[in-house]
Amino acid sequence: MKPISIVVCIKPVPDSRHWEKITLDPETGLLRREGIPIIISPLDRNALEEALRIKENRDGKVTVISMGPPNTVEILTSALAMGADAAVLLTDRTFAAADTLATAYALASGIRKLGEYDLVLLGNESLDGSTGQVGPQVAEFLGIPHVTHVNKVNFIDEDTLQVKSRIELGYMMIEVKIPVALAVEKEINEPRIPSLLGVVQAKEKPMSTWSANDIGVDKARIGLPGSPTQVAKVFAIEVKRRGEVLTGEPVEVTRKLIEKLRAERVLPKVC
Amino acid sequence: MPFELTPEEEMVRKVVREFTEKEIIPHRRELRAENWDFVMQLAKKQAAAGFHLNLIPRQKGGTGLGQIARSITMEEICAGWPLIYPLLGTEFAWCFVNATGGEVEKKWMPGIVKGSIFASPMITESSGGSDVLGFTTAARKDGNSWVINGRKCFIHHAHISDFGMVLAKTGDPNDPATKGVKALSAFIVEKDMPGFRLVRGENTLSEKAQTSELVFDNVRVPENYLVGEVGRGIAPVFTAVGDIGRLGITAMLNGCILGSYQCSVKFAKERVLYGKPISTLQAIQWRIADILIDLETSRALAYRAGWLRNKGIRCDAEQAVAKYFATQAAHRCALHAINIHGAYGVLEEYMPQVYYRFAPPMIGAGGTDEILKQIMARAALEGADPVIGSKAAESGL
Repeated sequence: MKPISIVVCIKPVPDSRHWEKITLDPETGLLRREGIPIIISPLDRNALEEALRIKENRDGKVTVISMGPPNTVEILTSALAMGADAAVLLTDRTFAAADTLATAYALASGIRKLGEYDLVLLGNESLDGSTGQVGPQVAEFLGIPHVTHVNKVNFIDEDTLQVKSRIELGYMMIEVKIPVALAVEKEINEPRIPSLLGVVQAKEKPMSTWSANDIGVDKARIGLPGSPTQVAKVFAIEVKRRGEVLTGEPVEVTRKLIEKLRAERVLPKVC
Repeated sequence: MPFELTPEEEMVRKVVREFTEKEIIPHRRELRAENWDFVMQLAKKQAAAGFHLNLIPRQKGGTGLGQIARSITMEEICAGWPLIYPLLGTEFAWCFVNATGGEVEKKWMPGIVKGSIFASPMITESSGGSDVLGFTTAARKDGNSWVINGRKCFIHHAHISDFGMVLAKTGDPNDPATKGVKALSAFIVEKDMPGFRLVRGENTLSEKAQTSELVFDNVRVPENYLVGEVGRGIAPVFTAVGDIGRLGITAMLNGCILGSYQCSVKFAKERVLYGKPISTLQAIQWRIADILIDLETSRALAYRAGWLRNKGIRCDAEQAVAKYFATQAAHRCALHAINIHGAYGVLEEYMPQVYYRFAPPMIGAGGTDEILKQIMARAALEGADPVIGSKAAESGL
């Protein structure tokens, strides 16, 4: 089989082990993330793992691309340590405050600048935003088909993939030609932990940093100006819990409990 | 010295911590049961992750990340479960073949880089590990071979080792021609060589049958299995004991301190007494602070000694200080952890007692407190400058 070119989009997200330290700025309504380490969004890590496995089965190249502030280099280096061949960071103040559409537009522009590609892989949704929109949007900007909720990928010939996609109450088996974008789920694989040899090899691999000018984007379509959706307000949910003790004979207590659960719509009206 | 870890060293900690969270912590039951098959499977995974490659230069297939990265690696692993892992044997193997070169290096190096070869220093005898002139194991030249006779004891991981480096007398310490340590030479002995056998495994406070007594009964080794030159056996032994042994054990003990810190903080926040977490009690806070003081201090000493070795500066005294402090601090911190946990601290399902049992057996490995103090005192009395690193032991112990 001919070598394959795979691009993996990865997103920097706050490490969930430190989420307790994230606070809300009451004045700006923005999340305070200072001092919280960043990690590769977990499903993007699954996407990278799948890309590496495909490359191991048929020769090729894996390039990771991310949009974010300069410290995003950390997660790109981790991706290189896992085995990616090259990394690209899209960083520019004008990219800031982008919604999913502006993000996907910038990522697609970066991918287009990379040249020819056969596969674009990304996580089905991110750990923080969880919209699940960026994958399909990147594919639309690139003008290629996409499959979401991907659990399994198999090449049935050089250019055709059989893809298992999760749907409500089951799965769809889809055949699709490359180039294609696939948004993967957790079940697709178990991402590898980088080796220490990978750690030292990472600094020897190419890492490019591109600004908005470098990828030739329309400035009106990136960052805050290019974002049709904007967050009006962020607020913490106040959880009010109260306990209630049901007393009486077991049969009577059970009946009361079922009535209450039905009233709260935890159970359907008719069992 | 710079107090900032390099980006690679930072990443080593992240990588090894993730490995520990995935491959060690969920399997503590197997480690508690001393399931050796599990340990060897774990060794294969650690080898695949390259945890044994820190000291091997890049051009020889290693990572060349150095002693600080190695210290971090062992610290994180041992915080998950303190154990002398087989990867230490691979590091010894590298140290021995590096000192020997030639056919020995050619034969073993590919396996060492893969992490599938283990070796042990075979030095200590019943008279002790430091009284090298009191050793009775001897080697005599016979044609193109050397013939070794004698016994060794407390040899760690000899039962899994593919080969060892044996220190033996090749001269008379009282003869002016081979005076003192010039009477000693080092040899590579392979596990299948006729006349070499393990006679019994020894049980310790923290593990069963991981150290062995060895017999050398007319073991014939080829001439090129001599490490370095005749009468120069003490130098590779010092390198192995200092760089691999002493700094490795220090890192493992720092893992115990880190583990004591982690489990104590977690338990103190979760354990509720008198209606509030015990972390709100000042008595508990002080114990946690004491552990942190030891963690910061012990790490700083270990990393400094590692930094000196990375620069190629001999630092016997600094290594001795680091190991001396870590041995005592690991014991002290495990005791703090037991106190914080109360009765839970000595239950086998809880970690404090594991850390507590690991520390004392490390006293003898790489030198007792008294031997370490002797090294420090000698450095001081010979005028070593503690700012740039000591050169105390250049004259030999």
